Amino acid sequence: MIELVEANWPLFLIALVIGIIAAWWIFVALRKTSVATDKTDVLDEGKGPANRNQALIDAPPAAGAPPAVAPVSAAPEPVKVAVAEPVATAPSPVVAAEQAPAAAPTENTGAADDLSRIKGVGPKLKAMLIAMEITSFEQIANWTEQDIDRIDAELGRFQGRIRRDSWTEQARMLAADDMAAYEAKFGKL
Amino acid sequence: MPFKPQIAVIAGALVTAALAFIGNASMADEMAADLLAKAEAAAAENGAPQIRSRFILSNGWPTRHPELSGGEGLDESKRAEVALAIANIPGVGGIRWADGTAKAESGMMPLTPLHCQEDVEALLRARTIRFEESSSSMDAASRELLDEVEAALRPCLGNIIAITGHTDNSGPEPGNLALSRDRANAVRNALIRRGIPRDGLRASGVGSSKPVEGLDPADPANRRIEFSVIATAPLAPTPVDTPGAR
Amino acid sequence: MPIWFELMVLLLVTYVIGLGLGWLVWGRSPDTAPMEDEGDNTP
Repeated sequence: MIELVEANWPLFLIALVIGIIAAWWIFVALRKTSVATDKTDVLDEGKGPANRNQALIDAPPAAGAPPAVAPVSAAPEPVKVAVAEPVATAPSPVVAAEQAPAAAPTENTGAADDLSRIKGVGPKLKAMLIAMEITSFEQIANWTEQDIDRIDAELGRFQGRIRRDSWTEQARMLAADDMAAYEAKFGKL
Repeated sequence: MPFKPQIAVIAGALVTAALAFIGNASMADEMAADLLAKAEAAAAENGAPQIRSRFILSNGWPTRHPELSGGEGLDESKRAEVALAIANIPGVGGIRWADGTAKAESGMMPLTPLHCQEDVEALLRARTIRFEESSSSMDAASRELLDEVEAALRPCLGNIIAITGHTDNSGPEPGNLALSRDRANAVRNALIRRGIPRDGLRASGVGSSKPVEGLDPADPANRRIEFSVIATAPLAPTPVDTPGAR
Repeated sequence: MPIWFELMVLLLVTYVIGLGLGWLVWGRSPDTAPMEDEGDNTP
């Protein structure tokens, strides 16, 4: 029997090599295609905002009253509007003027943006922002650090959200309608 | 690639099997022819060139295990010798005989008992165990002879020794039978008294029915005692597949 | 047994030995892997 091996030793070498290759295939190559589970946490350094319930975010807002409130509060609070960026003040009275004749308490149509498109802004936050005369992405996009601190103070239990969820950045991209960049940075809308 | 590991193992095994077929196609016939040449050389070397080896199976595939034939005219020891020589060629597997039984037989040839028998026959050729006329009693010289016979038989202990009494044909045959039996028994008893075990000795008388070859039954030289070994005890177990005579 | 059969059996045995060697090198669980002590990298 040994003579059989001796007479055919190249074949035996090939068989050994095939065995080793098969084992490599099984134990190395297949391992790499396994699902890579993400074991990091939201609170880790460098990790972006938490994944949100996108279905909820995309759903039409439950309450339709806030748009009617905005034009009402726009008039008695011209101070706040004046404090905002000059760029924002221009569209804001325009928005208020447009919304006043409309006075339809339905969705947030018109020049006002749907603030709930910002990841991290739900119906409650949106109501608060609108109560504070913030109705468009451009407004948020143009916030300075001071603005952020000021608004932050008003958010109550939602404090810290602006910076954490990078509202300014999101708003900038959404205002420019740059969906590609938005999705690249923040995930699908 | 979304292959399960089992598929990789099976694929490798199939490739290896394919390698086996490639190897077989390239070298199997050559190997068989080479072994055939060596086997014939070995047979010739051992003085039995008429032994043929076939390195092929009944369905035509080449094999390492030869079938030996042509040893009908040879004695067992020669057959065993040739079988061993062929089996010892590097590369040859198990041998089988075309006319064999494939039974593992004792590798030791039954030489010792024959040797005993020849010794005893040699002793008795020169001298005879004499009995008194028509009786089964031996004379003194015969007793000494019996001592020597016992010494010669001692190495054969373990084998069964037959003591056969013969007469010539003078007198009635029943009488001859009885006489020959008595004489054989007398020898048997004498040997037992000298220490040979009782159950290793069988005594019988055949009267004048078996005269010495070439002699007239009436010849008084037919009156004799013959010893023969009738069974050999196998002494050692043998492992299976020992190349042997059968 | 025919030569091709014996050859195939021997080759398959070699193949399995190759698999075994490969498993020893690559397939073992991390706590038995022979690449344990690469030197401590203290952060």
